[in-house]
Amino acid sequence: MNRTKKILLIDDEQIMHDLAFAYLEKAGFQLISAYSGEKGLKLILKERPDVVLLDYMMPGMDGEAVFNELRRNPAYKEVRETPVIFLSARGGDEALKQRLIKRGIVAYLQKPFGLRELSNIIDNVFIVNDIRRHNRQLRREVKLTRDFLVQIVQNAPVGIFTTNSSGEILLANRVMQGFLGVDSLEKLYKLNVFEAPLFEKTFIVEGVRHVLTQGKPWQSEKIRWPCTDGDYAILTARFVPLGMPTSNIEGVIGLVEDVTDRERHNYEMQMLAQITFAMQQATDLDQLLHLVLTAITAGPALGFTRAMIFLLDNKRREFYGAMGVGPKDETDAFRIWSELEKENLSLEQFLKRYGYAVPDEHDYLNNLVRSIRFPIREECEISQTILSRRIYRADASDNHRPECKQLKPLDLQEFIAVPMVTSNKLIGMILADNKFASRSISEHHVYLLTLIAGQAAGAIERAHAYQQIEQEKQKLEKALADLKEANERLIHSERLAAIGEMAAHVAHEIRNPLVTIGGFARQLLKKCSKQSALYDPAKIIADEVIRLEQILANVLNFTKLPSPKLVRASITELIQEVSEQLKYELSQQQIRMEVQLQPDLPEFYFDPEKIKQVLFNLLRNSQQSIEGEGIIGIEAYAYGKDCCITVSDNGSGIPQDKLDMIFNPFYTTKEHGTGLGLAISQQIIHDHGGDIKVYSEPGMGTVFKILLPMDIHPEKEDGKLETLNQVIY
Amino acid sequence: MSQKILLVEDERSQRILYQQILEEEGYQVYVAKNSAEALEIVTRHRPDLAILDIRLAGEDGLELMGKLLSISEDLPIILHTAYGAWKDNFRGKLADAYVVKSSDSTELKTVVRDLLKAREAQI
Repeated sequence: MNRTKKILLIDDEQIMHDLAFAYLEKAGFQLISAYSGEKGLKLILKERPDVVLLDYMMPGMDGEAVFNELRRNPAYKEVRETPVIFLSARGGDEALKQRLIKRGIVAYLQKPFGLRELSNIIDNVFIVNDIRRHNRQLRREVKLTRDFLVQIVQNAPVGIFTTNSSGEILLANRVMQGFLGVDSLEKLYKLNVFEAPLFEKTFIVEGVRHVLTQGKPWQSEKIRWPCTDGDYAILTARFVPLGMPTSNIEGVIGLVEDVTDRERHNYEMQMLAQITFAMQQATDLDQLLHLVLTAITAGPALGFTRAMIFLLDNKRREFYGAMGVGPKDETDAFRIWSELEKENLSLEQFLKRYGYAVPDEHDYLNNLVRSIRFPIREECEISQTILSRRIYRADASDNHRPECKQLKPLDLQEFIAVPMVTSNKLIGMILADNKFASRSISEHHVYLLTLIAGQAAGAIERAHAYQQIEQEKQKLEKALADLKEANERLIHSERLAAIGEMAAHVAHEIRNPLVTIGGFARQLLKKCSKQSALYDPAKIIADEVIRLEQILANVLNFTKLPSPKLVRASITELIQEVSEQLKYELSQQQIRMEVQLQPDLPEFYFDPEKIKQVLFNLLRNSQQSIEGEGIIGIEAYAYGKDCCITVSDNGSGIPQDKLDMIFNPFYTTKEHGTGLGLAISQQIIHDHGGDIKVYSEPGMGTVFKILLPMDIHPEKEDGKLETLNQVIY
Repeated sequence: MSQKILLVEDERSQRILYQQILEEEGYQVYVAKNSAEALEIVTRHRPDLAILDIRLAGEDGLELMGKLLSISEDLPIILHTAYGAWKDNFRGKLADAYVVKSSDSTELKTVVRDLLKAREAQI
């Protein structure tokens, strides 16, 4: 005790004060004096003495009244516990003594008493008081510790319970109560896990029995545990023996943990990995879209009822439906779900079975989605939200939604739309809902959907790129094949035309002498009689010549120009084709080609092969007129009802007096020409009901101008064309 | 007096042949082997009919036809050629007849006779 103990003496007799003062001061106490009950009470409050010596007989308040006041009046609450030693002058008032002791005075001294006796009692009071205080402290600490433990047990995120050695529940927390589905904790206490139906066939029986019989901890596998809400939770449990290591087992402590979230998280990570992997395998865009939507609607994955992808058309500033997966109506939904429930597929099986196919042409939702296009407008909140790369969420109660009317046919109630963004580029959105199912969309599913949307965006962009490459490749392959074919056709037709020209030429060259021979043979026949030796030879010559002439006529019939085979075709494409074919050859000769085609020139009926032959003839003509460097121009444009095609060159040109002759058959300025090229060209143009003209200036160049009627029609013009059809030879 | 025919033919063998044939028919035949000769004959002898080969060496029978017509406007002209079916082309239409050469000269003789008869009737 470091502090000097304070003693308050409340007594009306001075002698008591003097004695106490003399003795107690000497014993090391500090003495405070009060001469009446009222003053004493005030001093107790003010001085906070460690002990009060209270005289019974006093004028005014007597000792009992003071004590009662101290213990009962709230004013003295703080000093209520101050130990009080009663001093009584009267002898033998046993009833008073018993009454006061009962009320809590620590000692009752009867006057006269020895000062040593007083001193001993005071010492004892202090000792008892210390012990009492210490006890109170201990009790508080025990209570705190117990509260602490109870708090831990009650608020721990795991289920906790204890049993005694016979398996009766001693304690359980609320989490445990929740697992067991009991409405109050009290109902659990005293239940025996081996007897109560609540525990029948549960892991708890198994675990508790194990610990109690083996004396060793027990650890469970993952437990699929039915919850009260009809869902399942995944639990793990660990039971340990209760008691000192050396003594017998006094009971079991059970810890049961809900690992559903952790397991679900693991599962979802695996699921996302599976979906991502599957997406990477798909290169066909439709297949990929379907895979994404299947993953979103798959029960083992996100399990949305319907999912749709809208892609962004940046040029047209609109979203267009690319694909939709989901039931048409409630009946359809019920049918699909009951089928799936029977099969109980894993996600991997699910994706394998349904992911890689694409919706067939009769799929209601897919067709509906694909028919939807909705523009990006300020009043369309969905498009605006997605455009700013945020999630758009609509509640079922959200009746007043400024949404696009184009989405109306989908009959959306509660739904979610998440943007698909890749490398900072928005490519579209995924829209999903739980139509026909009563569950609402959880935050967690929204989160998962955004993760999938991100993955999908990347995959779609890759597939897009792949598809474009594939398309370009196919275009190139087709162009190459077309070019080859066109080239072969060209060689073939040029050769045929050349053979025809040559045949005609040769036939005519032969015909002239033949006519002379036959003519003279006939002259001879006229002049000699049938008896003459010359008659028969001359007759034979004349007849043979007739036969030869007929053969020539037949041969020439083969090379006559057939009537044009009119098909609807693009003259610009034909010109491009022809110019492409000659470009290289001309460039070798330092001749540049300038092609100018009216872009919107309509298709019309003509014979592409024949017109090609004309163009070749004209271009070859121009080519041969150019010595050294030069330019050949081709133009095509609409001229009234006609299409005007000009072929011009800056070659040597044609003298004015020869211009009229160049279309005549067999007229040629060339050393090796047959003189038929331009004649045949003119014939072909005339057969089309058109016209060809030439303008030339020696030294400046030549322009051929073709007019082809664009209003000619094969059915209507049949008769006319028949008459136009000419046999040249 | 027999009717006069101008025969323009660049090939000697044919000139001889057709001259013979036509003379046998009783016509007076003037032969020319090129345009220059033909123009001179038309100017000097005023023939009643001309037979032209379309293809003359280095020249164009059709061109010659135009020149002949410019001298003698109503001169009947027969285009006589080995090459068939250009009748509707170019100025072939301007010719009064178009006869394809043949060792059988029946057609030529018929056409000549008909044209001269028609010309006589006009006069």
